[in-house]
Amino acid sequence: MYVVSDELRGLIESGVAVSIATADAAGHPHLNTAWGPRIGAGGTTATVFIDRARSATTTADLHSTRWIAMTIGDPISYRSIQLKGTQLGVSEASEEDREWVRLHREAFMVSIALIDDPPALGRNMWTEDVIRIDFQIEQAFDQTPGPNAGQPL
Amino acid sequence: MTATQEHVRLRDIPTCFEGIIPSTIATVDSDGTPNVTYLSIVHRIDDDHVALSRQFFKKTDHNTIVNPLAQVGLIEPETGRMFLLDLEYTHTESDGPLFERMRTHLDAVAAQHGMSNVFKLKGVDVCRVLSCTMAPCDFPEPVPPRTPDLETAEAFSRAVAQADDLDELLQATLQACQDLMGFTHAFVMLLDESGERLYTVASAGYSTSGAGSEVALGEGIIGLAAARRQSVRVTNMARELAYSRAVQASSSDEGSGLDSIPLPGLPSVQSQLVTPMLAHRELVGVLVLQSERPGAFQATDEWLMGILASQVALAMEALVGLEPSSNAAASEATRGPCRSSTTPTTRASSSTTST
Repeated sequence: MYVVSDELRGLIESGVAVSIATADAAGHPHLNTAWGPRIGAGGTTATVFIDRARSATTTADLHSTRWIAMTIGDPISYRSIQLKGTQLGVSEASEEDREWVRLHREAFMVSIALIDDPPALGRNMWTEDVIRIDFQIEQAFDQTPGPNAGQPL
Repeated sequence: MTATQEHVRLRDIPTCFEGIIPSTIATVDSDGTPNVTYLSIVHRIDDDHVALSRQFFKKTDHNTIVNPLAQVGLIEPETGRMFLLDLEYTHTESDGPLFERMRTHLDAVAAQHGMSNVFKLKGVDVCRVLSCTMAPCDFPEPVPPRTPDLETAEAFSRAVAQADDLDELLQATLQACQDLMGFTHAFVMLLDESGERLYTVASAGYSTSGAGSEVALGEGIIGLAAARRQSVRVTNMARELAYSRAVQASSSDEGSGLDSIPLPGLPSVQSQLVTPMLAHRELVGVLVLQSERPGAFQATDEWLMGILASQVALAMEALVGLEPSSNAAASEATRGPCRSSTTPTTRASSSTTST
């Protein structure tokens, strides 16, 4: 089990880009874009949201193998962290969850605007309907590009 | 919302491979644990193969040894459409044309930011594309592809061919870049007689000309493109800079330092295309295009400018009436624009086009 520090929590819950990976039982990896990363009160669990329309493979993998990897990257500084863990549950998002996701997407759009990414980029990146994934954090890695990428935290 | 499992041809999504938006890669360890990280370059070899840059991939490298399957996520910058490539790792190349091409790009960006010591390309992972599908999205319509315009190329050739002397040739080249191609910021650098440095002789579209700026062969984006006789295209300088700073911050190699060479011209360059001008395989100089817009220069522009830059180099050679195969002649040709002036700077200033 890994405990996320307050400093890391601040990074993870900012306007970062979020990608998750899962795998099926045959070892096929599957990527997904995710939104609204949030660390639980004790720092040992994480919550993230994915578009329902893009959720079928991810949720099938989570029910099958339970493992999830989540990499967050600050678009401005490129500082990146990867959390790995096992799913605690896949559920419907609440109204409060949807508001959290909306705020994250706003922060993300500000981040990519600051680095001059094409403004049209956001138009296909998400839909309003999301589902919630909770997972237990087992491991954490520095994923910032450079010689230390992949080092356990 | 459109969902599709139809296979998408890689040639139909060229801007996904421009490196404007970072790509992601997922792999799986032998115990089934997934791994996800960012990727510098996804290079399309053909519709069935891609090459991935291998720089800082400790876990990904390990995983592809035990399980050759990977999935790469590409974002199309103009639309935000996401494409998922299911890949099977086949082999790693650490030399050859493919490796050199990707290495030059990374080395050029690294050199620009003083990161040569830590920014090494270890290898190029060649993967077979098992499938490419578009993730469901609200606006699935593609953007019209940018294709080479042969009429424009012909008009460019005609303008270059009509030049009576080197000054006119340089002016015609820059004017043609602007009028025919729509590239409003460009400059030409020529190789000096020592064959070790490039100096700016003409520019167009800048508030200050940048004339007289010098770059040593092998230094920075321009110098590396010249030294390796290879085009270098940077599509998102802000991201490249942020990436370089992140690498530098996480590197223990404090000695690498910053020795970046200020780029002539635009203060906030986002895209840059440096094309060597080659006449009979001899380097004459470089043609540099810049833009403040990310992704301004695409692969088709690189191909077209490669042809046109060579034509300018040959025209330059013909105008000074030199033997094509002579090294000394090539060197003389590059000195041509400066001979009638006291310094390259003075001469370059006279060739600057203000817009």
